Amino acid sequence: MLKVEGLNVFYGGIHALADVCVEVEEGEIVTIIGANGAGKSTLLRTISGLVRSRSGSIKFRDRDITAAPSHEIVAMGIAHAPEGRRIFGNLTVRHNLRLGAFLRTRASEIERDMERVFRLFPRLKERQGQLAGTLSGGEQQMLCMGRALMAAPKLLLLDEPSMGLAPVLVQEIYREIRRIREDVTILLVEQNAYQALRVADRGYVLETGRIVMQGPCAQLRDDPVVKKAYRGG
Amino acid sequence: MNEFVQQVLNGLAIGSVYALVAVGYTLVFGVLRFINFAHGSVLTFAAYVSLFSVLVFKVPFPFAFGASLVLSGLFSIMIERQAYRPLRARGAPNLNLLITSIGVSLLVENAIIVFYSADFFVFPRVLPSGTVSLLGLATAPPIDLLLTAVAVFLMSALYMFVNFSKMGVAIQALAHDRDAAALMGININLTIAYTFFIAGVMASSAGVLIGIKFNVNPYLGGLFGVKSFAAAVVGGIGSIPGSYFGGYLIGLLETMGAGYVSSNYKDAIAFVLLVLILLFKPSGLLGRGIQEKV
Ligand SMILES: Nc1ncnc2c1ncn2[C@@H]1O[C@H](COP(=O)(O)OP(=O)(O)OP(=O)(O)O)[C@@H](O)[C@H]1O
Ligand SMILES: [Mg+2]
Repeated sequence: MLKVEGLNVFYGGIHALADVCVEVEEGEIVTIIGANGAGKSTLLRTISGLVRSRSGSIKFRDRDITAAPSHEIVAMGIAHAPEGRRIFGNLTVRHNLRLGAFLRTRASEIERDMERVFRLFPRLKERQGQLAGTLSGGEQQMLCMGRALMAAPKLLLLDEPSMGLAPVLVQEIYREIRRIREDVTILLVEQNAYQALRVADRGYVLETGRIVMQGPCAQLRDDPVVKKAYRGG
Repeated sequence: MNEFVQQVLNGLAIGSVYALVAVGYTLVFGVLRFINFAHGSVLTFAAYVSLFSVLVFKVPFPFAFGASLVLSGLFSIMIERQAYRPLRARGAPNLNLLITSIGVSLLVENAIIVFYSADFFVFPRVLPSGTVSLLGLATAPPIDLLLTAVAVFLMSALYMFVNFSKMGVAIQALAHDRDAAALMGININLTIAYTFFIAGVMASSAGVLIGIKFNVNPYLGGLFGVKSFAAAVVGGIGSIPGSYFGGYLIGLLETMGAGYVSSNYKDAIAFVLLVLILLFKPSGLLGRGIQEKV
């Protein structure tokens, strides 16, 4: 479904991604784990067209999207719940969700998906008239994911959904990710390798811009190097 | 008392000009985070377009007015396309955009002088002469009433557009967080073009009408542009109501100052106010400060 090949990204002199190859099949959850500054967000931002690669290619459902502008990438079916949530704090929860459906036109379908998001995250339903900036961190994460789902994507890019959340909330978010995967393919980026490797089917380990290991999550979970480096022993 | 009402009325007319132009600085600042000093050129351009339409092509004024709004809106888009977008595409810092915009404004001003004339043109009579009496309290020339009416109309239209149209919501989202807006599927370049168009239309309506009220000259956009910039900053750059508030505040203070103190200081008032605001409340009277992204 998604095929990233030989991707190289630079920020000035910094080589942020070096010959990165990642593949995601329809229906999978694939995770990319790595420490701070490994280039995980850069990879997702490049897929979404927010950052331009110097070389390499990104194909989505057999179409080359390497040079496509972000809005076209969204239109093709890739939604991105970015790092730091980036919700529209000056708008209400409901308005944020509606913006997630910006490119869609059928009001009835949008309303139906809004209800679906509310079933997934009942707390958002209670707070739909509240300004998004006043939500708690966990609720903002739910809104960020809900907003991405409102685009009715085929592929969902999730950037560190557990960042800064209490363990109970992390569990809750991951429970919802398991429910979301029933309809949507997911590419999940995490520092919290423990959760990510439990929910995903396959994983890649990114280290200073290079993929250093890849394989089924069951295998990565037991790998001594991964255990030591990314799961705190 | 009547004297006071009269001053308020004059202040509202000139304040309308500042408000219409100031909102363009704020709109463009909202989406691109720089002060577009070429904004005043659009105003000058509009005044010449309507002057030519009436004088040379004998177009009836209402049509000339409408045509200059549309053409100036397109001129504003063209400045963005030709001067700013190439810089944006290369990721140039916002300071480069600002410096370029100063260059564009000098270019437009001097192009008029070189290719046409540095003369001041009096606009042909397109409105009834004399003054209109308002309930016996005060009198106003028809142009002042037209200015205020056009301002109220365009400000209301802008309010509806920004809050209730899809593109208006896109402009708000873009002003809040460009990357997040792009991830919603918002076409960033198209939204920026719309913003420049709207900013251009608002300013050009003021441009045509001050061309009638005073005269048409190459420096029109320079003086009114920079005073309106002061109004936008005084009100709080990035805030639409703030730019109106700043515009009318400066308009009223100017006429009051000229009426009750001395008209010698009229042009200085906007800048004194600008300096005071920058010293004591840099985010402006109605501004909330620029939200820096974490
Ligand atoms: N806009 C930018 N300009 C310059 N350098 C950048 C920029 N964004 C990221 N970098 C650098 O690129 C590298 C990869 O950053 P990236 O944000 O992709 O890492 P990450 O794996 O997502 O880290 P984290 O887990 O902390 O989110 C880092 O060294 C970072 O400093
Ligand atoms: Mg990151």
